[in-house]
Amino acid sequence: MSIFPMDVQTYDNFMKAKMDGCDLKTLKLKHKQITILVHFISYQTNKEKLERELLTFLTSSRKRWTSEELKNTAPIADSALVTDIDEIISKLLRGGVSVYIEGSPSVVLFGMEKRESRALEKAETESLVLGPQLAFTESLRTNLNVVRWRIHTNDLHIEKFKVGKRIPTEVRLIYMKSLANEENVDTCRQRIKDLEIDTVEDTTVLGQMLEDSSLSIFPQILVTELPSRFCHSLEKGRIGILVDKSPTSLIAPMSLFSFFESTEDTYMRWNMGSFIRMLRFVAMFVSVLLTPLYVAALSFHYEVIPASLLVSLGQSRATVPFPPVFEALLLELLIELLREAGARLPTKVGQTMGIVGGIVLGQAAVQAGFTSNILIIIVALSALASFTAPSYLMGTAIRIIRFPMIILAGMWGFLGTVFGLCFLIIHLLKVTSLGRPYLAPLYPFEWKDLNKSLFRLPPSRNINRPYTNMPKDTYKANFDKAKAKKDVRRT
Amino acid sequence: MKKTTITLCIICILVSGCADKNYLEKMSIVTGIAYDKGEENLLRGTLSILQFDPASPNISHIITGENDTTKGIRIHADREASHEIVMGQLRVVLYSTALAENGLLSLTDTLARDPNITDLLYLTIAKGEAGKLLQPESTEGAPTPGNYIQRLIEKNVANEQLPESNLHKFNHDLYDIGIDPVLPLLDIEEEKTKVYSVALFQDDRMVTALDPDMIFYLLLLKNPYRKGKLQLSLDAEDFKDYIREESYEENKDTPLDIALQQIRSSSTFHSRKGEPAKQTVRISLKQRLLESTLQLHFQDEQLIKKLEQAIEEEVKEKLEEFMEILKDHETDPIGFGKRYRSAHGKNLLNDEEWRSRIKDLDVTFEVNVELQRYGIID
Amino acid sequence: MKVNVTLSKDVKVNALYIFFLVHTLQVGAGIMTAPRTIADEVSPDAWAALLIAAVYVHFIAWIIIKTLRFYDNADLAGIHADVFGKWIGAMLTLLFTGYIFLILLSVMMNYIEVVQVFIFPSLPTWLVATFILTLAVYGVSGGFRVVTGIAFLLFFGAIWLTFTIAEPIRLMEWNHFTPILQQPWENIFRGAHKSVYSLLGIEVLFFVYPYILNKDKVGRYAHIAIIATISILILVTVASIGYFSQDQLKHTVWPTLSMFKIIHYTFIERFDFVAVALWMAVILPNITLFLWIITENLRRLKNIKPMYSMIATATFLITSTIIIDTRQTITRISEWASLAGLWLVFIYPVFLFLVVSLSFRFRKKRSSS
Repeated sequence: MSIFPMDVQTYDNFMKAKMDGCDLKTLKLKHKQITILVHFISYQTNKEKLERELLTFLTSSRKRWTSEELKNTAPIADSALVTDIDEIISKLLRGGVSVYIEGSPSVVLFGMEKRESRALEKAETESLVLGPQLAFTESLRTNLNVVRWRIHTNDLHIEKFKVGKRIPTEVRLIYMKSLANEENVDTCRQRIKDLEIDTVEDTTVLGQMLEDSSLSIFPQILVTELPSRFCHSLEKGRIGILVDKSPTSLIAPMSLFSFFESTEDTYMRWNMGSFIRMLRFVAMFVSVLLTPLYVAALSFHYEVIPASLLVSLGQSRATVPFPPVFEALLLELLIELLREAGARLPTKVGQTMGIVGGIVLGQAAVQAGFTSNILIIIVALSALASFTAPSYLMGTAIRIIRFPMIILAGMWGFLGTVFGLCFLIIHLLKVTSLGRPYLAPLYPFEWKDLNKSLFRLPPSRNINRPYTNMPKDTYKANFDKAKAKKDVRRT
Repeated sequence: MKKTTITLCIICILVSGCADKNYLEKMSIVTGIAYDKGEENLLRGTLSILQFDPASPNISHIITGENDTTKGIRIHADREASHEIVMGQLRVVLYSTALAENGLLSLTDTLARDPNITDLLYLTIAKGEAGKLLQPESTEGAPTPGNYIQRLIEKNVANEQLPESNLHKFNHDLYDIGIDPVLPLLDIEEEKTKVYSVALFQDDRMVTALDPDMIFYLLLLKNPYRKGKLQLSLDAEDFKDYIREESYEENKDTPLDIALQQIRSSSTFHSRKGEPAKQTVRISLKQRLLESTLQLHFQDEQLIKKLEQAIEEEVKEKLEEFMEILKDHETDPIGFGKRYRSAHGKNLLNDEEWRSRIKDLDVTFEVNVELQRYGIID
Repeated sequence: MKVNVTLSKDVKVNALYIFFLVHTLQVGAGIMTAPRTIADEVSPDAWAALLIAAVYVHFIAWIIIKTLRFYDNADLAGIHADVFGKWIGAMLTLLFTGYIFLILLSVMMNYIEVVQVFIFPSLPTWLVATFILTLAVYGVSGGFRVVTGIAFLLFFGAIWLTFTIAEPIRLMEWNHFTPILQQPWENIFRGAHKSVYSLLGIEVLFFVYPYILNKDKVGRYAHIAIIATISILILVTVASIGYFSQDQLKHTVWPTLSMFKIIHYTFIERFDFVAVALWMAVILPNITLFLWIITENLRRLKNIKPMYSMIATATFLITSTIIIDTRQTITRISEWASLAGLWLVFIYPVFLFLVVSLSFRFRKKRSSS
């Protein structure tokens, strides 16, 4: 039951009442004795376009306008005839222009939004040496544009969702129709649909709500700002999520090992890529275990320290007034403080901070006999190691795991450390991502996938998509012909 | 309610369950112990310890204590030290000859029982007073005298100058049937601790110190050499045809001393069932001649043959001499009895029976020597 | 009670994991002390005793799988209920559960004792027990897949310890083994009988069989697991006989761990400390799997929720560790467990097989006539 046509003045008043406090602007035009009401919010609309294309067009016509006619003739692509007041309001709020022509049965809505957004920039948190450097921006449209540009096939499926009751936000579920496992897509779709929330602040927030286990410290959904990584994952049969207003994207299902993959591994030659990837795994172990082992050895197991190290360790410890656990926790905390302060401050100040904190504090602490210099090396090394994780969230998780591990080592030595390790292993076995095992391909064991997660093989050996994502089509490439490589013949 | 219970449980565990702490810098770490006979049948222990003191750069200390047991000494020493005395880094234990002659079993047994103590610990015998050996003037950069002695023995074992003598090996040979353990014998000379020789044992009782020249033959029979060294003096008269004239004229009366290096040896033992005391040992030696006091014509093949023969005879003679020492002291560090048992059956010979037959040992040696290279110039 | 277990595909695992389940279960229990007990009987010829034991264990595994093949998807509780009726079947299943409980207790107490002797003399027993059982309960609460995962991952976490034995092997004296096969046969058989204790664990097939996807391969992986266990056991036993002299070995309570005492690296002076702590990775799959079997049996018998039975068992275990704290009691419990194991694992399956095959033949006849 339409409320149109209605009196112009009533309509105007009605709209003003509905959008009180929304900075609504009204233009009242007289054209051929008909009053035309144009509503918009000035800072949301593209003024130039409005003036040049709509207002000029409206006033210069010789005909008497009807809504139908305006919609059909106006040189604006995004136009619609609407009778629903709510729809009009929501469109106006997002930068639309509504035109009501006296006596018409509907309102014409034009989309002329102006969105202030930054240009595409280089990735900051996930910087690369080789390969595409582009990062997502806050605009969903730009992001979709980038993704479509990278994967321009009709196989790329984009599902639209609006999440949030109070402030609905655009969410896109993106996957390759011919590759992505349907169960995974269903799970993801279901989880997005089931959300009853006010709004989605950011992709990272959505990610937290979609995760299988919120209690776990390990991220189960990858957050990335790299379109290249996003698209690579789609091509492997994973599912991506983009959210409006957010410069990052989500990828699921993920396994622990894929958090240590960087797209750069693929850009580099396979042997270098393998080396660097394995280096990261080693770094993870070093980061989690080095400080706890130091604490355990110095608090309980002096027997295991080799004679050559014993003296230097003992002498550097002799002046320290705290037990090793406390000393280690103190230093680890110091490093975390430095990192946090560096992240909060502007880049230039942040660098100075790092130097001041790292060198001056460290040096002074050793000279004052507050910590042993060997521990400084160990803590710095393990902090450094934790920063090698390509995913920021995973790096943070590893740094946090260190603290309980140090406390365990400080209370029960090697036994506590092994307990912590076993606990971690069991925990990782229990975690799932979209219901898929987190430790795949290690457990459940998938021999053919090891070369995709733990290391890499030369391209000619790498002909399958990872099975762990359960893609519909696993066969990726055929190198039978290319392997021959007989381009140049010596005569 | 549930949460409070869980929290309480966790706090309980944390408070009550913390393991005993051994902070590295709060301990006196013993690296070496020397045991001597004290007054009135007491045991005197000298402990070489490592102790970290923020005020002084001196980390090596010596503590002595006297008591009737080893644990008693530790308690006694505890009274002298501000830090707790711990044994986890013990590297070497020295016993005076007097103690060793009375039997070491009661002293080594506690070491083997203690899970804190490593099996790689070196047991050694001191020629004189053991405590003195732990107080040399220089330790050549080792943190404590204990560590210094460990390095000293370790190097000599690696260079095949001493038999392996760690705690495990000692216990192994002690408990094995038909073999007696051996331990290195150390001495202090000009305020410097050094290896003197090897002590031979009858079970856990030291019976004699081997002549230092004889160590080579002990090791030759015990283990195959891989890079051994030997110095021999042969009668120069036998080689006068091959000696360069000018050299011969000058050193008419000196014996021909030769130095053999890179010795690789192997030995096989043969015996017949029922005759454990009558054994044949076939030894083959391959080596390089590096040095001789006289100038020889090494191109001559005859000379090489002759040299080989002379060395063979010399080695054989020395081995027989060595066997006489074993028979005199009724000790079997080589394990003739053990080899007999493993060749003919484990039930054929027990410890006492073998002990009584050692003095009847009749070992025939067949030595085969092969000279391989003669240095880089002729 | 239903004879066959109905399970969704999600909770089942590949037959490959049978290898890890059986192998970790066999290795964890007795390998610390096995060389001594076996060598006590047949010092130089222990390997022969082990080979004889291996043949018998293979036979038992074959019998167990044969028995399970009569049904589609049954476990021990189901078979018992089927052939012995509800009450006697339940009693027998309970008997088995009691045996599992006993062996779980003995494995745990033995490890705790090792920890107390080697690393922390003053650490309270109940605390270590709480550690281990916390991990076990946490693992079992994840269901069978996680239990299998623990066995799988910790197998790799512990198997490399085998390679560190290279150093004791280098120091071995081969003449400890000669002359070959001079021991009387009765000694060798006594040794085989002793070594059977360290091969307990094959009974796990009775409980995990319904959880296996491709049942045709169960046999293959079970036999490979036994071969792997025997190889490791022979390696360790032979190494300790060669490394220790005969009387020395008689005095050594944990020869396997004592061998670690000789190992040292430039960065770790005493490997035995690391090995003892890491040994938790060897026994943890045992504890989790045993705990799972207990909860699974109770669930099958009385439909008790796994979470309840698990927590109850764990609490009961911790209380038991507080009560029994002396070496003698631990030894006695281990002996009971071994004895029960000998009858229940190495004799009873043959009997069960006969009963099941007879009952099936009987039923077939009845249905055809």
